[in-house]
Amino acid sequence: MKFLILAYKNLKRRKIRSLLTIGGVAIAVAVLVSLLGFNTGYKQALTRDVDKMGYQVLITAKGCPYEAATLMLKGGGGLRYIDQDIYNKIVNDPRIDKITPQLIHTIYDTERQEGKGGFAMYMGILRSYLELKPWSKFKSGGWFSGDDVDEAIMGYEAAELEQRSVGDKIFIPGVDKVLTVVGIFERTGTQDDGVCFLPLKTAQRIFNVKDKITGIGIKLKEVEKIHEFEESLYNIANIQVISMAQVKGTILSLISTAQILVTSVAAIAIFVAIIGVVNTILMSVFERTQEIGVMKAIGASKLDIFKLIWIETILTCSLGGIFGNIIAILGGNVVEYFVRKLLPYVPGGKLVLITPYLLFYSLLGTIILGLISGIYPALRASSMRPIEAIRSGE
Amino acid sequence: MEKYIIKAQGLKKIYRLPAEEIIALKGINFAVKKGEFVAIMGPSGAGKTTLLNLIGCLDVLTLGDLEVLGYNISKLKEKKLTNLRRGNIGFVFQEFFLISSLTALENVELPLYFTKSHNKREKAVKFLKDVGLEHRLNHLPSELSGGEMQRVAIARALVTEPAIVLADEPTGNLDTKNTREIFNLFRQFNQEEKITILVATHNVKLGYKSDRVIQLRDGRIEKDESVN
Repeated sequence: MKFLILAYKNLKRRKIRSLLTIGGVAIAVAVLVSLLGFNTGYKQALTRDVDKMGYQVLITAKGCPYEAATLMLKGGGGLRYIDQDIYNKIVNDPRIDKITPQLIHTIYDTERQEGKGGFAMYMGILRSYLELKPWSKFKSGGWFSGDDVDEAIMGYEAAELEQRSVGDKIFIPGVDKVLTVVGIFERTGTQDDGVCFLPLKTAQRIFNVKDKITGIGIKLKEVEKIHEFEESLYNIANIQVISMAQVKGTILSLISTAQILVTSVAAIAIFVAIIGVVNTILMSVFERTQEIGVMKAIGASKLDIFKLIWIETILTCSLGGIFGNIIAILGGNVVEYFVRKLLPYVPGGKLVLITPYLLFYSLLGTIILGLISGIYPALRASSMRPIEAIRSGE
Repeated sequence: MEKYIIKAQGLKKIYRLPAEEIIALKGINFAVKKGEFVAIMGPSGAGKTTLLNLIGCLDVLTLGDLEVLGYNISKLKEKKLTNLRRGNIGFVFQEFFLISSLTALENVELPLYFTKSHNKREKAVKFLKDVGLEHRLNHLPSELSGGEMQRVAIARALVTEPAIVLADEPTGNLDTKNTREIFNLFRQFNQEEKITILVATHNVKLGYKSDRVIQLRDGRIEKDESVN
């Protein structure tokens, strides 16, 4: 404790220099913690998003599978159609637990986003859609009254945005159609919240794509047989089978490439910060040569001096670690803002997830770095001969 | 045998510099009894500081034997020397050498940080009182006068209750009044606590206020006389 106070007083003596050094460590730690926090947060959010789609397998028209999957995840236009016959063909496959066809249609609505314009997303579904998404509960109202009726069920956010409740009419721009809202879903935290659902047949009729769908979502009885199931579907012309696990893996690996790059930059920043710490402490050791000599003369042993300088370094690094963590926590939202702006697909929910574990380990890490980087300056100081050290100032 | 607290025989110290060898002490023989107040006098370069540093285990001798508190210090390793120094020998320097970031009280406490001593604070306060600085406990060295700084340094040298105090030109940076007061402090601790004191000085008047004057010249003892 007494050494800690001594070390603290020494750091206080050169306030600016100490603060700059601590700041260097803090920034490096903040970047690293934010990145690691982003890593966990993004993974969790993406996993949650993909899992909440409810499918393990998605069948779509041939094309880029990841583009298709991404479109399904985030919504957007440009999906290609497949024949509903395909659905009819495989619907009774014994390996399938649950299956649902869907027709996604997007319409550009100039009145969206306070006049800036944006895509409104419509989805034609069958009742089996709800079986794949057991968490979709009605906040009010209920299912459509028939297969081909002019009715709509709105996602939580879509209903909020349009200020609709059950019984209200809703106008679909582009096709000039008016539907009656019969149900509103509770919030699910997925893209479904922003979607306006229609009966599949109604959707095919008003969007003028008879007997077409954009995708089929499938949940298998045995997940282990997913590969075998995919193989058997490859024979059907003009479709592709996308395993959501694969999609998740690919998005994560795309992100991780960028992450490796940025993490190495952060690692270099930490390395530079540590060199800064060593440099600062070494300088202050040389400046205090005489003082160290005096301390030895009045009874300090080699070990005492070593401890004193070592504690000073550890203190500098830990303070940097603490401030770095604070910056990371406060700055998490800033990182999130930029990520959302820059990345093409971003899952919902909190992206930068800074857990107590992460904070604990980053702090532990900086303390260990302090332990390591303090060794050399502390050795230099402790090995000074008292008489030469005292004379150095004369 | 035990009555000598310091015993030097054929003590030599040679500084080997790249260009030359400086023989600072050319064979010194003397012994100091416990409780003696010795002034080491002589012109600059006579070897006063070197002698004190050797006795204080701050420097290593080149030749000869030096016994301090019964230990032959030429044969001791650094760790043992540190242990001997700590708690047994107190230093007072001409330049005071207080730690500028610490208050008077903390400076006096500092040597106790390196020992297992209890009641550090109380001891430090007591010694600061003894040197007449109870009103300056929480002042930084920069807020003290030269005389006050040297008093803090003396309190720091005494706080570990050493057997020997070595003072190297302790009054060299002080005015006449402070010089007298500092010297009286040494005398007081010498008489009350029976501390052996060695003071290097070239103030002749002061030197002859001690018990014994050892006159050095060119690394040799020129004169060794008792003062009555």
